[in-house]
Amino acid sequence: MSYVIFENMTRDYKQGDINIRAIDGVNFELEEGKFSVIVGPSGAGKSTVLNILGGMDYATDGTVIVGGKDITKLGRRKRTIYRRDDIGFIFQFYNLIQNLTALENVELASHIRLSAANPAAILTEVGLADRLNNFPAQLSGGEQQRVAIARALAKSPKLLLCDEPTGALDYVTGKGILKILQEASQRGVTVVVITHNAAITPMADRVVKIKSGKVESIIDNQSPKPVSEIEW
Amino acid sequence: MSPFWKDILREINSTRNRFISLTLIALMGAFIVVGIHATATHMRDAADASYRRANLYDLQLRHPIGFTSDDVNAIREIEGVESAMATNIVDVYIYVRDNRRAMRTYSLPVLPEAINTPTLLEGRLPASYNEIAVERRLLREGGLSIGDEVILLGANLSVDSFTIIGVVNSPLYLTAVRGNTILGDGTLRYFAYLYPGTYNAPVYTDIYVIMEGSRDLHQVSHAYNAKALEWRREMEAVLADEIGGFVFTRQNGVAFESYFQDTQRLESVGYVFPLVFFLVAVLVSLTTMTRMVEEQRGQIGVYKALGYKSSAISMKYFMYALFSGLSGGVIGAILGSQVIPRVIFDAYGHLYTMPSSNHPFPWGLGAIAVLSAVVSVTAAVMFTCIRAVTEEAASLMRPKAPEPGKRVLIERIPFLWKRLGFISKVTSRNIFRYKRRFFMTLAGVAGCTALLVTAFGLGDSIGSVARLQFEDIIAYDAHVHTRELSYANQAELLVATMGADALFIRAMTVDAHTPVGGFAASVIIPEDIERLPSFVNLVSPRFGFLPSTVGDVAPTNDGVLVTEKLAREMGIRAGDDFTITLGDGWSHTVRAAEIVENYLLHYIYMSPEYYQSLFQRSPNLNGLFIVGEADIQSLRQHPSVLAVTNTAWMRDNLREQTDALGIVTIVLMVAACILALVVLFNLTEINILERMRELATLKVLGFQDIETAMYLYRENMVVTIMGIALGLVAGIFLNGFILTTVEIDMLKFPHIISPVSFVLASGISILFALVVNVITYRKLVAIDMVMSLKSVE
Repeated sequence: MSYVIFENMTRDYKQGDINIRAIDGVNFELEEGKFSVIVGPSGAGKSTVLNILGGMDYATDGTVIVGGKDITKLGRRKRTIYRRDDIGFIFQFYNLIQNLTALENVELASHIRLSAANPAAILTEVGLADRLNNFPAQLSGGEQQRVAIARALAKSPKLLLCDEPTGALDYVTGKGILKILQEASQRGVTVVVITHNAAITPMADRVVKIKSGKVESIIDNQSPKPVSEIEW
Repeated sequence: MSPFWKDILREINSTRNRFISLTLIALMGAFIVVGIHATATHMRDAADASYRRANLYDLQLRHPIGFTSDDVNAIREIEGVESAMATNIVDVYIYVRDNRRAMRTYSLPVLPEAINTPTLLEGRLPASYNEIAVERRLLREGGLSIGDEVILLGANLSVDSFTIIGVVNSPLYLTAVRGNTILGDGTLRYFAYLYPGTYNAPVYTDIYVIMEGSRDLHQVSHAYNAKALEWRREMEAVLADEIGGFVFTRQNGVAFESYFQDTQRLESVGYVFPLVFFLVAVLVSLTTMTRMVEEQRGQIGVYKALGYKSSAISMKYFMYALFSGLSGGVIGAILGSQVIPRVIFDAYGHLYTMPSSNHPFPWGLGAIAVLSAVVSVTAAVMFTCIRAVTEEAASLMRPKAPEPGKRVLIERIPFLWKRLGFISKVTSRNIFRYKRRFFMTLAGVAGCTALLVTAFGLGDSIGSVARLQFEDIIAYDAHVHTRELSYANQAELLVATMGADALFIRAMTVDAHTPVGGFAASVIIPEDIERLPSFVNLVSPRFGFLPSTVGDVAPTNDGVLVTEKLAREMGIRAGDDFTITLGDGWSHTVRAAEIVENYLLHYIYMSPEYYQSLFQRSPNLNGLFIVGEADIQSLRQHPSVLAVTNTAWMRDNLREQTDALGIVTIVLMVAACILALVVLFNLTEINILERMRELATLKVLGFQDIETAMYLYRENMVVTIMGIALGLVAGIFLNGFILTTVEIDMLKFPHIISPVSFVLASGISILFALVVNVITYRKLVAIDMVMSLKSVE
């Protein structure tokens, strides 16, 4: 059985009297320990899919099963525990706490998760050994995103969800970030990246294409390419 | 309606809480400023009206052997004199429940001049010999009623038996204090009015004069007081040449001056408190409007891009603040002018005989209050808007970069920093990150706590003054007033006080003064100075709110002990000289050896040796202090005894009076509480709004609602506690200032703040912080992670 199963998932947003259907009966599965990419144009609803998968938003209809449990049935408290124990989130704009140093941002995660990794060690792994005590404002975009990844990984999540992780970064830096994510999946973390940039799909084990709130196609790569061979 | 106004109204509607808190703070400031000042004005106006109604004198002329009709006519001819009325004022004895008391009788003022007309409360005014109009106090204390017969003992009265036919208030007596007399122990107890023909002396004792132009002045004002001194000097110059005698102004009267001063004291309270409120209003407005402008940066950018002028864009925020300040100011001014004067005038009503008059709305004052409210709320807009609207449209439409993280001072002390837990580190860094909000919260909480400490402390002081005076300081249970005692009398009285401890004394009422000022004081000369401390606890004044040390002062032979308040009024310290003037007009210079603690009335304790050196004779004893159970009844029956003053009765009496002042305290306390709630609510809400993104991030990381809340509340609590600590200290000073300000003439409030008050003040501040945190918890829970994190940083 797949690790993540979306079954007929629908998400409506009410805006006054108007009902807007952002996700219209989505069905797909993602495998454990694999690198998946959800791709589609902006406004297609891919962020909504990721937010629901991450327990930040809820589905209007259908089920989302993660690791055998239906997360759409979780209450407010349980959903928070799910986010805490199972999920690592990475955003386009990093969302670091400005008033905490790199190390402290990572400690923030390990603070609430008992089986957390050593924050300094994780930051060293992502190449920030000499930037531990810098504030976000003193770091470059790429460095900030690496802190964000370290903060997500520090919780030893089962699912690493990345919303346009390279969207605000230049080509070289973006590749560096993707490399870290690919390495994470090779160590057994289930990584899901959403992007509008189809160029990075060759590195994924599975590519889910979403258009206008529906799944357009699901493609499995038998031999995903290493990041270094990808160009855009 | 133009889009401009629609935009403002919608803005107000959508930020209702913010608008209301801003308005409330403006309201509180205007409420207090108008309320207190209107009360002071009202008190002065009520007195002015009352003085005019009574046709109150400007000058009182007194002659040791009296004025003849020719003298009166001569005075009427003096330039500047509008009218003059000759009258008789004669002090007599009256028996009140077997106690012989001194009473001052006045010849009933008659037309055409009718100066100092009494107010008839009941019955009618005397219309023939043997009729008397008395004050209500005499009826109460003597168990008398209209129609009863009283006997007066005194010179110059054609009859001695009178029927009470009316009850009156005298314009000459505003308070319960009746002043001094040469009769008995020197203390005057009552006043009464007799038919003019009752006096059979060939001359008049006094002439009351009204000067030209007097009624053009407000009767209770500095202008009047200055003019009165001028009249007095002129009149003295005229009298010196021809007739002789003394001239007095109202300021020499019993309570006119202290009433005027009370209104001024009230006004100084009315300056301090609103100042605190308006200052807070400025701070709250600053954070609120800064937040609003920051929230709408993009929108301001759009307006600019559309070609709106900076001034037009600022106008929206200016109008928002103006609406808030204006509505708060107007409502506060109206409420304040209606509520506070009623409440406080009622409290002072227990101290002064002053009929309340209708009070019109104080337009000038109201305008000032509304203006202050508007200015303190809108001033902040100038700062925040100018910065925002002068930015370029493009940069405005880009969101403002978040404030970068900063190291705090404590991080530079590795020893301490290492010891802090992760959360403590985060908390301490966050507290100092938003400096302006940190200082605002600190000031807000400290201000509120200080106001609460002040209010509770005022309650402590007011509540304890009776206990301190009559339990801690006055140790005797009764003061027996007698005529001058012979040795035989003394022996008989000692027998009558068998079983109790008694100390013979000489008591006399004097006018104690220096060029700075002076008041009526009681001089107490004990027969045996060594024994005085068993009857009166003589201790040095407290320092601040610390307890005093007991029994460390005794009268010496080269100086007297002067009570605290008297010393302060006269502007003297231990070692300084001052003058005492006796009832017979003789003056002596005495030296203050020490200052002693005392709260009610003014006392001068003098050793018999010092008396001897001043007067060249030993004191004639005229009373005794008693500690313990004495047979008061048989004491009263002794022919030498004039009256017995019971300490417990005095204490209860004072308690009744001071309780009324507690009302002022409650007004201040309620104001402080509302202020505290509004400020804390406002700041906490803004704190959440400003840090939406940060809080949403925590939620995404898997912080439970309560953990997210604690992340914020820990900061709030630390700042609240710092604010409380600061406020407790500030409260001590504010309390001291207010106490000195509200003290009435003969009363000194102890600077006491009980530990309970500190605990209560802190407790209420903490409670408010908790309440606000609970209210804002909903906002924290409602933060939408998706929406908050979507936007560009």
